[in-house]
This record gives sequence, C-alpha cells and structure tokens, in this order.
Amino acid sequence: MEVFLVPSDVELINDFLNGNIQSFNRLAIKWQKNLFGFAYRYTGNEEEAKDICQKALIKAYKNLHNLKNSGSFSSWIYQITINLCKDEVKKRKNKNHIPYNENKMDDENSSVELISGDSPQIKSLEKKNIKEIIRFALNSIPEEQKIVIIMKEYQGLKFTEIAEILKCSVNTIKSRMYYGLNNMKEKLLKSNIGKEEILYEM
Amino acid sequence: MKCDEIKEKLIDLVYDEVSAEEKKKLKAHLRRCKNCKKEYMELVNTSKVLRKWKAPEPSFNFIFIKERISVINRLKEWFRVPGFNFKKFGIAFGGIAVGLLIILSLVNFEVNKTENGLSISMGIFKKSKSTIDERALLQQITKVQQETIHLFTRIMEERELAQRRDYQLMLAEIVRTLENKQKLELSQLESALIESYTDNSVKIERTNEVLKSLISTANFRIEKK
Repeated sequence: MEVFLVPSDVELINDFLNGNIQSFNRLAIKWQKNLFGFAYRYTGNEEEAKDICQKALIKAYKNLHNLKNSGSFSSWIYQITINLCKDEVKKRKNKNHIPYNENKMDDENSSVELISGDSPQIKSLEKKNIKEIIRFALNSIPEEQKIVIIMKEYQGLKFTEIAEILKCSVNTIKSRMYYGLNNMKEKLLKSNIGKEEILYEM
Repeated sequence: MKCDEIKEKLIDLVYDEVSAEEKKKLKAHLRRCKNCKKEYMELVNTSKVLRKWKAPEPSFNFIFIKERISVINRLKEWFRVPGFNFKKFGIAFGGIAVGLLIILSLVNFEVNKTENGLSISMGIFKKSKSTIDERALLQQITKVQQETIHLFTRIMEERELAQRRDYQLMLAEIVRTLENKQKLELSQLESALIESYTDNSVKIERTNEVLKSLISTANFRIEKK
C-alpha cells in the first residue's frame, strides 16, 4: 500500500501536457540525477554531463507532446541522453580534443604501481586514480558494452529495463554485460588496480 | 548442470536477477566447481571495484519557465543544421550585401551637365532628371501653401456669407408672416368697423325718422293751437 502519493511520471507528464509547467519541473528534478549520472559516467566530465543533462531535458520539454505512450518516458529520455552523449563524444573527437585526464594516463599508471601503502594520503590519491582508471577502462571497451555496464552498475536498472531502452533482447543485454564485465576485469588488472580486490585465489 | 550452462547464468547471479530455485542450483554448482566459483567471484569483485567510482551530486537545478523566445534565437534554431555556422553565415551574408550595394551604386554612376557645370551623381536609386532648383521648389511649395491658405479663407468667407444669407431669408420670412398677420388683423378690424358703421347708419336713419315723425306731430299740434 502506498502511503505517500508521489505522482508517477505518467501523471506528471499528463499534467504537464495539460498546461502545468510545474509538473515538468518536478519531472526534471526527479530525473536529472539519473541523467546526469549516466552522462557523467559516459563522458567522464562533469561539465559535459551537465550540458547533456540540460539538453536532454530541453529536448524532452519540447518533444514530450510527440511521445505516444507516456509510460515509455523512461526509455525515451534515456535514448535521448544516450544519443546526446554519443554526439558529444563525436564532437570532442572532431575537435581533436584529447581529454586532459586520458592524456595523463600513462603517468598515472606508473604512480599507481608505486602505491601499495595504507597511508591516508596514498588512499586519497588512489581514490582519485580509481575514477581515472575506471573511466579509461570504460572508454576502451566496445561502446555497447560500456552503455550496458553504466546502466547496470551505476543506474541500477534491471536487465529487462535496459533491453527495453536499447531495444534489444534481454539475452543480448546479458551477454553484453558478461563480456563487458570480463573486459573491464582485464583492463583493470592491466592497470594494476586492485589485483587483490579482483583476483580470487583458491 | 554443465559449466557452459552455468556461465550463461553467472551474470544473473552477480546481479541477483534469478529465481530462488535457480539460485539454489547455481550456488550448489559453485560450491562444487572451483573454476566457475573463481569466475563468479572475479565478476563480483570487478563489479565492486566499478562501484567505487562515485558520481558527484548534480550541482544544478534546471527550472523551466514559460518565456518568449527572441526572434534571433528562433532564427538560430531554424538554421540549426549540422555543419551550419550562424556566425559565418551572417558574415558571408553581410559581405554579399555590401558587395551588391557597391555594384548597384557603380551601375548608377551618372554625370550630368547643368547650368553651373558638370555634376557627378552616384546612388543606389536613380535620381529623376529634373533640373528644378531647390529654391524654386521651395518657392513653389510656399506658393502652394499660400494658395491653400487663401482658398481656405475664401471658403470660410463663403460659408459666412451663405450663413448670413440664410439668416436674412429667415428674417424676411418672419417679417412676411408678421405682415400677413397684421393685414389679417387690419382687414378684420375694417370689416368690423364697416359693420358697425352700417349698423349705426341704420340706427341713425331710424332715429331720424322717429325725430321727423316727432317733429311733424309737434308741428301739427302747434298748428291746431
């Protein structure tokens, strides 16, 4: 039984389409964390993620009346965000812009190798580097696997939901996840992060 | 279950998207099979490492408000085609426009011979060939202005006259009606007078007759005496 009547997406969308702009704002607040999170993991850049999130919401605002089934809003808004992410990365490649952190990867690798202590300084450095290493690893695996991993690991979506968003069968999504995770394991092990954390010794 | 079958379902187990029954079977297999167990654990551990990358909280809130979009932004939106640069387009458009203007002005390059000598004119739109002096034009304008003022005053005068005539006519009519009234009254008085006169003359005749008869009777009495 629902005690707190939090309006559903469908209710908010219908209310918005009836002219109540505040309902869209509520919808945006509800979704912006998810969309930002996805874009942030995809691009690895906070500013770019913010831009993508904003663009996605604006697109939704403009085109919501074209959405035939308001129940499919979540997959629709994810599709918009994924496309915007792809565009953004393409644009970045066209500009021949090498992201600052990717460029520095090699140096950081060597520093990671040296770290093995427990001192808090080293811990914080490691924390910072974990982000870079995961990001780098995610960028080096096939994109379709990357998207599934982000959706599963960071967005916490069910395989069926991911299948709906990406318009694939559930088995395809699961196999992408399986190979993606294995690829990530290899990449992470290559970068020497958490050999102890990942490898399972019998 | 064979290891190949298990491997297909490992990912379900990692993310706990299996039925309770299936979960039991899988776990039982993992207890027996070291290879599958290793693979499973490494997948789980990789997943754990991945989750160490935390996203920052979004430091923004997009609020949508109803607002009118400016014409320029609408145009920009309209021209938003991949590879289309609004600024470049603007500059190119401006350049072409300026070029066209210069060409047009050159096309209309003119040399005129006037009383004072040669004059050169250049413009986008051709000037009419009239040689009317500006002063003459001004004079004409003032002339026309004066004429209109004159005409205007004349019209006013005419209107006044017409009004006056109207008043006169009205007065004349009033006078006429008054005269008629007077005439009528006079004629009535006349007839009344005539009537009274005839009435009186009859009365006088009668009195005369009475007097005469009285005189005659008196004379007769005197003669008798």
